[in-house]
Amino acid sequence: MDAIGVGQPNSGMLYVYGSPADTSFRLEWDQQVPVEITTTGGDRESAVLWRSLCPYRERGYHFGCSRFVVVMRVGYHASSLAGRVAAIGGRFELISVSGFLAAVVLFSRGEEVDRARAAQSWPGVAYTDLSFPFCAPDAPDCLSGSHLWAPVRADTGAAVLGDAVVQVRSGDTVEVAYRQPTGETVRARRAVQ
Amino acid sequence: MGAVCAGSLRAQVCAGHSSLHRAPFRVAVGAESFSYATRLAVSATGGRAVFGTAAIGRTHDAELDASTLDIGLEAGAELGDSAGRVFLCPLAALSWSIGPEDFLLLGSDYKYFEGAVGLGAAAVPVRRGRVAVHMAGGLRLARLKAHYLPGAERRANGAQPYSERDNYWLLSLAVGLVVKEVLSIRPSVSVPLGVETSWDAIAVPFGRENHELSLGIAVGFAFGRRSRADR
Repeated sequence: MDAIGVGQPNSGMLYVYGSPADTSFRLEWDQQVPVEITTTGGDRESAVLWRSLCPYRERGYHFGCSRFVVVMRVGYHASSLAGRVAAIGGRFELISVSGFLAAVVLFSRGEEVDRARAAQSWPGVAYTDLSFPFCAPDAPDCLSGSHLWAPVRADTGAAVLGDAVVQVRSGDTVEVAYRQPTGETVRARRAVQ
Repeated sequence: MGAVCAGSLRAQVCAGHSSLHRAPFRVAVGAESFSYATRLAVSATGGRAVFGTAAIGRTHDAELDASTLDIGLEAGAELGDSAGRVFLCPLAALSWSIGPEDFLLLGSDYKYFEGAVGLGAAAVPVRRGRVAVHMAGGLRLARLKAHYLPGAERRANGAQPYSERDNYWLLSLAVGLVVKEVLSIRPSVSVPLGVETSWDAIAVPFGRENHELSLGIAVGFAFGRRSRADR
């Protein structure tokens, strides 16, 4: 892995991402890239990166893994769907001010098409759409098929080790670490605002 | 979809099952694994020297949440030597695949139609008591037509339906374990050759990527009264 990074916690989640040195590298479906996330607040969690560009094949249409977009009908606000989004193992990444448009992130992989299709029947939804890959501002080659990422749940509670939720507060520093096959560890840090 | 008949559902001796000369009817269930999809199907076959097969199945690509309903018809002849150890099977097949619909939430639907002619061959190199091993292979030339129908919103924006056509070869090999000429268990492999179509334009190839190796297994159950000549 040439570069690794962690995004700013927001909306109850944070992103971890990585870019292999070889941009022709393609992570296979049965492969995982494990990373460790630690915070100065005392939390330690494990996560696995997967492709940011789906599906896991070269040919045909592509879309952002584990994400979809919800467009609401007039008179409905996307925030009314927060419970349904949580129930399918996701979280709103953003909701437009008017509530007309929202982006959903799933904490699982390979389910974005199925979940987005099911969400078309949610109350107030005009339609759903698959989305472009996530691009963190400092993530290199984020539209490449080699780019990896993972959304991780986050909250501001007291640290609970290994609960798959990163407890992090303003002023903490989040560190993500990946151990190369050579034994060398690549790290990245971000101060939480 | 051609592979409905060409792959998991060929239900005659040249696909590794028992000869229809022994029992004239067969039902079979099959599964096939492609690079990105799986297919489950059932078929019914009837006949002796001349046979017909009807099949229905479903192919599903879980990552794309894309499915097709597959319907296949096949007719052919089962020409065997007097000892019942070597067979040739000329055949013709038609198949339809309906779907995927609303592919990737784009509102677009797809349909596939395929016609094929081919020749199969089978041999029975091992027969011990009530158990026999069938070696089978076949090559068929398929003519595929894939039809794209854009969704209403896309049509309103000027998108037009279109069709793509292609010819390709499908090579298949199978080994059948046949018990008492009734039960047959048949693993198989198939490989499409000479596919030139730009599949980016027609969604899901499902076993039609050039040189894509597909693995299948089918279980057949033969029944019906044997002909006098075979008793």
